[in-house]
Amino acid sequence: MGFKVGKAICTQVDKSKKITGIAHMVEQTSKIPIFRCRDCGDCSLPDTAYLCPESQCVKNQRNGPCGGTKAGKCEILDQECIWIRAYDRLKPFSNETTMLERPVVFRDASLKHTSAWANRFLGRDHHAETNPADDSSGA
Amino acid sequence: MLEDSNKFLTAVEIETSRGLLMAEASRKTAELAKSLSEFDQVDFVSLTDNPGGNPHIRPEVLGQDLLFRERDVVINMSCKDYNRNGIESRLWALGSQGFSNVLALSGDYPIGGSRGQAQPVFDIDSVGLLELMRQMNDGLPNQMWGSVGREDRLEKTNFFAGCAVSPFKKLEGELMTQYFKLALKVKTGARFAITQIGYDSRKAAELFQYVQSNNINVPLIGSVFILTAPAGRFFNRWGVPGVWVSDELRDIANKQAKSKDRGRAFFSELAAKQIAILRGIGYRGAYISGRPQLKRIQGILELANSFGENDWKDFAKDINFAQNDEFYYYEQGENPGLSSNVENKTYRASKSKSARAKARVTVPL
Repeated sequence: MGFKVGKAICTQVDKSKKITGIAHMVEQTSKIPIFRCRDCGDCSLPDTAYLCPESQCVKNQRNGPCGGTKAGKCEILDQECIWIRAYDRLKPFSNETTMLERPVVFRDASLKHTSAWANRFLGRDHHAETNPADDSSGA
Repeated sequence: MLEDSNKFLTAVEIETSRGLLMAEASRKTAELAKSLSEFDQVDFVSLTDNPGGNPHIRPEVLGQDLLFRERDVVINMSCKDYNRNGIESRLWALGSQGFSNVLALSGDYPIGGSRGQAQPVFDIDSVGLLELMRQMNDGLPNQMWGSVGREDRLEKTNFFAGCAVSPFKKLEGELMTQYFKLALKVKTGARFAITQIGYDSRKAAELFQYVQSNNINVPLIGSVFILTAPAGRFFNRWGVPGVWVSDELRDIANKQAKSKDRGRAFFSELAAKQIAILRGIGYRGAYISGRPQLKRIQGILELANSFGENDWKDFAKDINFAQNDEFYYYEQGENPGLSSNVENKTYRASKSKSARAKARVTVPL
C-alpha cells in the first residue's frame, strides 16, 4: 500500500521538472544530515541497515565487506566497518543472516544527482531488479 | 584442474613488480615464473594485480610466457583501478589472450602513485566482477550503440572465476559477514576460494566446516605465507589490510631471526606444517606466497610430504595464533587446534528470542 502511494506521488512529481527539483531538495535536506548522503541516486541504504556505502565506506562496497578490516575497523578510516555495524543493527531483528541473500548490486552512475526516492518508487534503481513490486519502504 | 581431479594442489603467488619487463626487477620475477613452470609440483601460478595498492606491471604480461609453456595461470583482478567498462575491456583482452582463470578481488586501497596518491575507482566490487564474468560466460547482452536487437549477444567467454575469503576475523559481525559474502560469491559464480593469510588452524578448520555444513559448494585453497621476522612485524601492525600476526608469533619470528640461518629453516618448517594442516583438514590446495625462490618451495614441499599421516593434528595444536577474544562460529574441537561442528554456545544463546528482544532496546546506531 505504502509503495503504491509513493509510486503515485512520484509519478505526478516526475511530470514537472520544477517540482522534481524541489522534491529532490527536500529529500537531500533530510538525507544529508541523517545518512551523510552523497546523492548517488541509486540508494543502498535499505541494503546496509541505513549506513551509506558512498560516504562511509572508502571502497563503496555494496555487496558485503571487503577483507581489509583490522579487528573490526576500516583499513583506511578510523571507524568501524559499516558492514559490521549493519550486522549489529540487523541481528536484534533476526535479519542478519539474510543480509546478503539478494541479487548483486551494481550502482547506476546515470542516476547521480537525481532523486533516490523517485528512482526507487519508479523502478529506475537497482531495487527494481531485487523486488519489482516491492511494497517495503524506500530510502 | 580443480574439477578434473581430487589432487591436493600447490599454487605459488608471484608478485609483479614496477617497471618494464626487461628491467632487472621484472626480469627476476619472469625468471622465477619460468623456473616454476618447469617444476611439476607447482600446479598453478597466481599473478598479483597492483599488490598493496601499488602500481605494478600487469600480471598478464608475465603470464603470457607461462601460458605458452602450457601452465595454469591465475590472473588476479582487482576493482580499485578500473571502472566496470575498464574491467570488461581487460576481461576481453584476457579471454582473447587465452587466460581463463581469474581471481576476483575488490583490491587494496591505493597507497601509491606517481606525483601523489592515485584516486581509487571501486565502481564495482569483487561480487560485481564475478557477476560480470558470469554474464560474459553466458554471452553478454550487447546493448551498446550498434547492437542489432534485444537478442544480440556477444561471444561467450570461458572464465573460471575464483574469489578470496578471510576467516581470520576478530568480531562476530566481522566474521559472519565474511561467511555470508563467501556464500554470495559462490552463488554468483566463484568456483574456488582462496583464504587470506593467517596463522590460526582452528579458524582454517572452521571455515572448512562452515562451507561443508552450509552447502557452499566451493573448493578451498589455504594461504601459506612464508613468514620472516620483518614480515611478522609488518603484519603485527596491520601493514597489509586484513592480515594479522599476533604478538606471540611476532616474538617467535624475531627470536628465530637471531639464529644462524636467520630463521630460514624454522619459517620453512612452519610453512610445511601449514600445508600439512590444510591437507589434513580437507582443503583442496595450498597457496604459497611470500616471494619464495624455487629452491625454497622445493624444500618446503619435500618437508610437507615427509610428515606422517596424522602429524598435522599435532601441528594444528601449535599453529593457533588468534586475536584477543576472537569470535569463532563453532566450538573448539576435541583437538584444541581444530574446530568442532557444534555452533558456538554463546552465539547460539545470543540468537534466542529473549536475547534478540533484549538487544532491540540497545540497537547500536
